[in-house]
Amino acid sequence: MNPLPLIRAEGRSALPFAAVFILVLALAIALGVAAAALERSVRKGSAAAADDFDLVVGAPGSSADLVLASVYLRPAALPLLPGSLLARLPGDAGVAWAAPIGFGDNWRGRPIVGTTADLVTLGGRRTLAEGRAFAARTEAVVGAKVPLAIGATLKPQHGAGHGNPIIPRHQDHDDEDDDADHAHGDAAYTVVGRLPPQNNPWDHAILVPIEMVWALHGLTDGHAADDGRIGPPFDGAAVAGVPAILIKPRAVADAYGLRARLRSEGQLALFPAELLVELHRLLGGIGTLVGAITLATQVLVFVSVLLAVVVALAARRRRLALLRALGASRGFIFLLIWGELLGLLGFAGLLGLGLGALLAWGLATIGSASSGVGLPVAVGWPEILRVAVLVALGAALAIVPGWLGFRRPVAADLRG
Amino acid sequence: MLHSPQSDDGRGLALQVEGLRLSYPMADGRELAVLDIPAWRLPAGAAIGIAGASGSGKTSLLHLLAGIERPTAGRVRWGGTDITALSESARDRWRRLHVGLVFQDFHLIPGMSAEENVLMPAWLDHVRAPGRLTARAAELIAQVGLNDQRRQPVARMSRGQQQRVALARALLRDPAIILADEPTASLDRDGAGRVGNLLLDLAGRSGATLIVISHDQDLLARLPRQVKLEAGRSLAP
Repeated sequence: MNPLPLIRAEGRSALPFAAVFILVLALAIALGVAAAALERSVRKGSAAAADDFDLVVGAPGSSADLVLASVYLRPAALPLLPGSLLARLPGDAGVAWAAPIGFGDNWRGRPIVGTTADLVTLGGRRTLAEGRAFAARTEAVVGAKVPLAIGATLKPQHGAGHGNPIIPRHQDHDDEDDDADHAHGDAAYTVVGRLPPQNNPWDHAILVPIEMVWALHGLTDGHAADDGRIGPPFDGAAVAGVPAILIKPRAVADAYGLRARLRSEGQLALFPAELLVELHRLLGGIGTLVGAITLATQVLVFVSVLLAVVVALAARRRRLALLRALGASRGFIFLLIWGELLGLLGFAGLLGLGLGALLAWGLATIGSASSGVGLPVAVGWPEILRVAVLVALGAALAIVPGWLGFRRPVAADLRG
Repeated sequence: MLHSPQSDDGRGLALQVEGLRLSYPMADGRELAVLDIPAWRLPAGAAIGIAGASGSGKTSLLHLLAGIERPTAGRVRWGGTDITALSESARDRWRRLHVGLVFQDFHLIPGMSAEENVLMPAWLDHVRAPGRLTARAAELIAQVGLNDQRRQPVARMSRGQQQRVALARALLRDPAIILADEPTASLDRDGAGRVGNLLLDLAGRSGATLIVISHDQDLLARLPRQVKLEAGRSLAP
């Protein structure tokens, strides 16, 4: 037996009805697909952004603020670490390199981050997309998405940037209006290098020698001799303070040893990945809850559609009885009804996957634009499996109308 | 007298009805008797018209003869087969192979073309319609005069054309029995005449046993025998 030609014919003659069913089911499926894909992409994107941040040190305060400010360049008011720490850490046996991270200026809303060449090249591991690391106080390396060519000059403005006001607490600058952007006189940087794309907020950042940031803010420049040099070693007495230090330990054991030691000294030392694990655990919990809610919604939509199909079956009972009169077995009627529903579910599943991918991509694009964190959205096997399970569940539920059709009395239905 | 179970050309089947009763239980516990036919026989290949007022039990009789419904009591034998003794699935199969049904309202599948509707019974037990059935469908479509419209969706056809498609569908498997329930009732006079001609002509050519239930006196008059059903109780000539 072959109910397919009848299923196709039914689809053709009831096209608007079938299209509405498919659309309603597809939208329910799409919401679930988008929620699952987005949750995974936020997890992946936030983890990828923290890849290069092994151990971050800040003055005692909020660990979330420290990670948000240093890894994601998000607004946070950070207390300052003592300069002696910056002077000591690069020489520590367990440290491959340690780079300060200082904020305060911006160029057209893009944060200018004061640091050392070690952060630019990740201790020599990272090759720049263009040019080289800065070697003088007036040189800058820009993120992949900063619209400045090599050789271009930029004038820093005070303030951490529109929508990105990462403002360090300068104890000696309390009287200064941090919100009002204004140029630092004639100070200017020349772009000498460009970082490769990282799909994180650092793509929009401008990296400059931290000495210049300090100098522009009227602070001591980190070096005892006024010789204009940049980078470590720093003179602790000549460093007013630094919001965060990024440390690349030599080995895993060193990482844990350093963290313990820094903590014992009263500093805030943490692995961003650790904080992310906690965040992801929370996100995972929310994801499970959202997943359960969307699944419940989908099941309700499926059941509603099946009920509508059962009602529609009543209207079709004469046509089904006619098939029986022409010799169709009860099994054929069951397969016909079940096959029709499976067709609806199958189309809805495919359309739902597509719509879900589109929705997730749209939301990720919006989220990525507002946070600067690249959200790699991909509808993969987890979503396909999820839709397959839903379609299988729907197919199981569709046995009910199939069975009802199977049991219809032929003679009574023929009389109408 | 018992007639031979099959006609000379081997197509039609003889009918033998014994003590056939159909009744339905009513709300007050009593039974509503719909049919009560003590005995009735038809030779193989016979053609007969059944008249009767509305509610006389004509359609119920047709359902019992087709094995669509089981009687409360009695036997319906077609050839050597007592269809009242068959299981529901066996009756489905028997009906598929031996009975061609024509209805007043055609009951075509609206999303299909004329050709697909004629071929539809083939899909009840084949994945693809076998070549002989495809060829037979083409032959029947030509015989009912719809060769040029064979790919046209039936929803866009006139009522007369639709009933001609239904006629071709009923004859696809060369059934030994053709049962027609008011085949001309929903057609205008011209359409009814044309469909009546085709029904008698095609059934005559196939040698099938033909039973036509109708109010259409023109159609009944052209059948070699007519009987009248009165309150489901007799098949008087």
